Amino acid sequence: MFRRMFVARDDSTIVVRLDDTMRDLLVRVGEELREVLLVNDPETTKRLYPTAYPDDEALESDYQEMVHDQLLMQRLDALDTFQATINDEAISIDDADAWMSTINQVRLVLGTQLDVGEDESAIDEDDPEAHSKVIYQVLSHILEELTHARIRSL
Amino acid sequence: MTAPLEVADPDLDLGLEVAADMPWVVLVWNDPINLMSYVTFVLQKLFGYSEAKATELMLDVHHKGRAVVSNGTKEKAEADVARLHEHGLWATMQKDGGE
Repeated sequence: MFRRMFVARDDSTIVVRLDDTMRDLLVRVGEELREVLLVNDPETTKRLYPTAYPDDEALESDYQEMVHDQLLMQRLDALDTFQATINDEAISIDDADAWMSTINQVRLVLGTQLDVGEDESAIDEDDPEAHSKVIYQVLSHILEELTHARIRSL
Repeated sequence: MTAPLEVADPDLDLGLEVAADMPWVVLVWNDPINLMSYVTFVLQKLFGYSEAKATELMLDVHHKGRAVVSNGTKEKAEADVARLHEHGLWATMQKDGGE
């Protein structure tokens, strides 16, 4: 029987029903994301810092200078909260937002590396990237479930 | 990346009239990574749109390649773009009619 991973409660908290395997996966991808953020290889993180002014190099340079460090701090703050609450049985709305931010950042980095398309449902087991694609799909499923729980509190 | 499609007049997506002192529009572009439910949630959270309006905008992004999600002064548009970037959406800004 289908069992929801996240359940929104009336007291504006969200019950987390992830098993140990899922939580271990999230711990691991959180650690990897921190390294990615701190190393800040432009090719790896390009999807985390999109272009604001695609047709104006000067304005774009000013924008990136203005927001890059701010975005990095916001991402690291969200990651801190995510890692501090990863084993909690229930999380607050703010915690949920940090989880969603972190999980989606991992998906953005991984999805860019895998060059995913609109339909990534089928995975060939002989594909050398099959393991990464499975992780991407699992993260997508977790984020989808958490989004549906979180949207009830809006 | 899914190639963005052209929209004849992005302002029609919101049904907003852009005032002369609010010449900048913020666009969200389609990408194959962000989930449709997540995009809808972010638009509701950041701009206070109803679920119906946020869903309409999300579907415009998905089917037409992009949608205008806000407008205003350059400073407001930059702040909106930065908040969208914080949430992982692919957003850009441009002067209204600057296509």
